[in-house]
Amino acid sequence: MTTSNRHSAAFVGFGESRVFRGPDVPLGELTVEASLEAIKDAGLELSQIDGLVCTPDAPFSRGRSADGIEFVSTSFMKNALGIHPRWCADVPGTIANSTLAAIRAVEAGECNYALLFRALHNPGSGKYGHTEEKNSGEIEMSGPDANFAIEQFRASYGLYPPADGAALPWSQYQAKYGSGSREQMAALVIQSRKNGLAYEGSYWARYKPIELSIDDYLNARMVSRPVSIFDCDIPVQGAGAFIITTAERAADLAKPAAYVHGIADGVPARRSITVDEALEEQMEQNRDIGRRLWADARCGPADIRLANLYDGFSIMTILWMEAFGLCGEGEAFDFIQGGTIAPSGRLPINPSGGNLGGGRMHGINHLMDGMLQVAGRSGARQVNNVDLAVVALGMGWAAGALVLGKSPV
Amino acid sequence: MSLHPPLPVADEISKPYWDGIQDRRLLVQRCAGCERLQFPPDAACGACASTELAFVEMSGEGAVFSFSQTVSGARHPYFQSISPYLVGMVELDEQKGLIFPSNFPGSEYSDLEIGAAVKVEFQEIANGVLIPQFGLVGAAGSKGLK
Repeated sequence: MTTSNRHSAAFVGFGESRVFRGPDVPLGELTVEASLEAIKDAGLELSQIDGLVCTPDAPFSRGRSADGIEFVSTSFMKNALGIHPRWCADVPGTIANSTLAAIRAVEAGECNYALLFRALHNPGSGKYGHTEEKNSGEIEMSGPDANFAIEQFRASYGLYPPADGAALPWSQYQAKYGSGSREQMAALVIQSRKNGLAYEGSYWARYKPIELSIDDYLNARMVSRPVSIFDCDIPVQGAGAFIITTAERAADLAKPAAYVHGIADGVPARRSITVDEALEEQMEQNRDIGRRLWADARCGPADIRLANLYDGFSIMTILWMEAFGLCGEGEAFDFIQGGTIAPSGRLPINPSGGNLGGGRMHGINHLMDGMLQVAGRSGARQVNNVDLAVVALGMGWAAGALVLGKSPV
Repeated sequence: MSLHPPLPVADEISKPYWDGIQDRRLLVQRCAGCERLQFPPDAACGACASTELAFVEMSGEGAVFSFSQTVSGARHPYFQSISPYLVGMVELDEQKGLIFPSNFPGSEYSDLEIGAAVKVEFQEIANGVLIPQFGLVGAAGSKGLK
C-alpha cells in the first residue's frame, strides 16, 4: 500500500476531564484539567505549548455566553495556563474544524506543539436549544447560528433540526432501501453502550454502568419517530484535549504517536431548508468528504481496520459507513448485525462508545479512540492489528474526517 | 389563539414570498438565466448565480418527501401543547428538489407514506397570519396540526 507523503502531523497526547451531567464544575476548570492531562500524556512541559486551537461554539446557550462558563476560548486558556503561544485560533463549527486547523498549523510550521481543546457545556436545566422561540412570535436567537434566516421557513412548523434532522433522512432511508427498522438499529445502539461502558472516562461508565437490552431500546421514549431517546446522545459537561506536533518531533517522545495520513473538510451545502433533513444531501456531503479523504490518504475503505464515525444520532453512523464505502449503500443495517462492528469483529465501530455510548462530547471520544488505537495505547479496549483507522467528526459543513496510522507517512 | 407557533419574520429577500402566502398564493423564485425554480428565496440563483429572480406561483401539488412524528422534545410551548404532531417535507411537482416543510394537517402518522400526493392549503396560525401546509390528497383537512 502506498501512502501520502503530504502529511507530517502526529497526535502525541490526550487528556480528558471528569464528565458531568450538568455544570457541577466550571467548564474552564475542566478544560484546564483536560489540557494539563494531555500535556503530561505527551511528556511535554507547559512552556513548550506554542499553539492553541479550539472550537469555542457552545452547542447551546441561553442568552448568556461567558468565557470559561458556557464556552472556552483560546484567550481564556492562554491566560489560565499562563503560556505565550505564537499561534491561536478559535475555529467555528465542531471539533472537526479545529482539529484540521491544528494539523495544518503544525504542518505549516506555525507552531511546534499545538494544544487542541474542546469544551462542552450543559446547562443542566432541561433547556437545551440554540434557537429559542418566544410565544410573542419572534424567533429569538441566543447563540450563533449561520442558518438563522432559514428559521423563518421552518420554526412555524415545530421543525427542529437536531432530532428531525435525524428522523427525516431515516424515514427516507427506510423508504428507499426497505431497510432500517428500529429492530435493526438496536445492534448499533446496544453495541455502542457496551463499548462506552468499557471506557472508564465515559458518562455511562461513571454514572450508569448498565448495558442496554433490546427491550430497553425498542420500548424507549420516542423523540421524533423513528428516533428514540437512545438514538440521541446524552448531553454532558466536560472537556477533552489533544497535543499535535510533527512526526519528526513525535519520534523524540516516550509514547507512540498516531500519524495523520489524510484529512478532508466538509463544505457548505446549498442553501435549503432541508440541509439537515434530506437523506441525499447528507449522503452527498459525506461521499464528497470520503472521496477527498481516500485520495489524500492514498488508501481506501478496504485498508481500514476500525472506524470512529460520528454518532450524535444513531443514523449518522449508518450514513458515514455507506458514504465512506465501508459497506454498500443500503446495506449498513444488515452489516451491523451479528457482531461485525464489535471490538472483536471485522470492522469495529466506535470501540470507545462514541457519543451514544460515552455522552455528548461532540467527537472527542471518536478522535481519542482513533488516536489511541493506532498508537496501540487503548489498553483493554485495544483492537488487534490496527494499522489504519478512519475518524469522521460532525456532519455536514461542520464535518471533517481523518485517516490515522500507526506508522509515519 | 393566545398560544401559537412562532411567526415567520420576513426579510428583504423573502418578503414577496410571505406576502404571497398571505394572499393564499405559493410563490417561489424563478431564475431568468436558467429557469430554475428556487425555494427558499435567496439573493442569487443557486445554479447559475444570476440575480434576475422573479416570483412565480406554484400549483401547490406535490408528494411526501420525508416525515416524522415529534412525540417528545418540542421546545416551544405551543408545540409542547400539541405533541405528538406530524412534521416532514414535501417535494413540489414542478421541480425535483423543491422542498417545503409541512405538518400534514388532517392525517395520522400511519397515513403517511413517502411519495403520497399532497396539495397546498393555507393555515392561520395566529390572527391573520398564514403559513403554507400540505395535506394528503383525499385527507379530511384540518385546522389543527395533529
